[in-house]
Amino acid sequence: MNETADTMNVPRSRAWTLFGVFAFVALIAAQVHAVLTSPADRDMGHLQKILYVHVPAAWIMSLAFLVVFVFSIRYMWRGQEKDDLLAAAAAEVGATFNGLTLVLGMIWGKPAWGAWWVWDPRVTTTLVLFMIFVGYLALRSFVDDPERRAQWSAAVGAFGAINVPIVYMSVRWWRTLHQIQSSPSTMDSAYVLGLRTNAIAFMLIMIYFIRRRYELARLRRATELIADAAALGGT
Amino acid sequence: MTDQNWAFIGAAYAITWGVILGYLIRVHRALAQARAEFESASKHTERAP
Repeated sequence: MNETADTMNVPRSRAWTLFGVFAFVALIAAQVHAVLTSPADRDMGHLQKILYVHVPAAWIMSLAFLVVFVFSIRYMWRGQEKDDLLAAAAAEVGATFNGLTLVLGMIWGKPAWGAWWVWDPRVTTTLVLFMIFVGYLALRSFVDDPERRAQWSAAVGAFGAINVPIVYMSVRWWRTLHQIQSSPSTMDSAYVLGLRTNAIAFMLIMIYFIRRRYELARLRRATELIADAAALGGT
Repeated sequence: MTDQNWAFIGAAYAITWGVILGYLIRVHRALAQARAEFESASKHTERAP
């Protein structure tokens, strides 16, 4: 692999530590501001405050899977290991936020719908998306050959990410209990700023997580390459 | 209903922070271990004849 030297050049940056600290401070500030300043909703009361974690988690899940899609296609196109590692990092972060979205939806659903779980199209398609990416991560842990692992992962990653628009549109395509997409046009202006700041803070957290997970993948791969080189050299 | 709603709101934020901090700790621990293994492997290679 002619990119071996590139993989061995494992990045380590203090700037990312500062970025991480900034992302966490931003999330705390956004949540405190939103929770303390948002008025109770006419129908839902204060339960609407779950919106500030549930909706950004869902958006960030979609964004992370978009990264998986882009880098999976890029891997299939160029065959560079870095693209595969970045797609895998984004898939793990996306699956984490996907699981969080489902759990937060259940917590919201119990008082709002009277049930922890309903087989609603939005909820069901989000669960299917979660299962696809848990499968993606399982696949990566089962396949030892890095090249085959990357090829199969790219195919599953690109296919899995195609489900994101289905999840997004499910509330419009089918009769559903879940409300339509939350956006400034569908909600009271009192909640828009809180939703925007939390979405931005979640996005910063996602970028930080993907970067760290990518760094971890490159370190592990570089260690494997050193071990392989040592074995080939008979040491 | 309102009192009960606060329990759901509290649970939602607690789980969100649990997941985010849990993932942060997991990745940072794995990074520290991977960095140590990488440095050890690099030293081994340098020492090899």
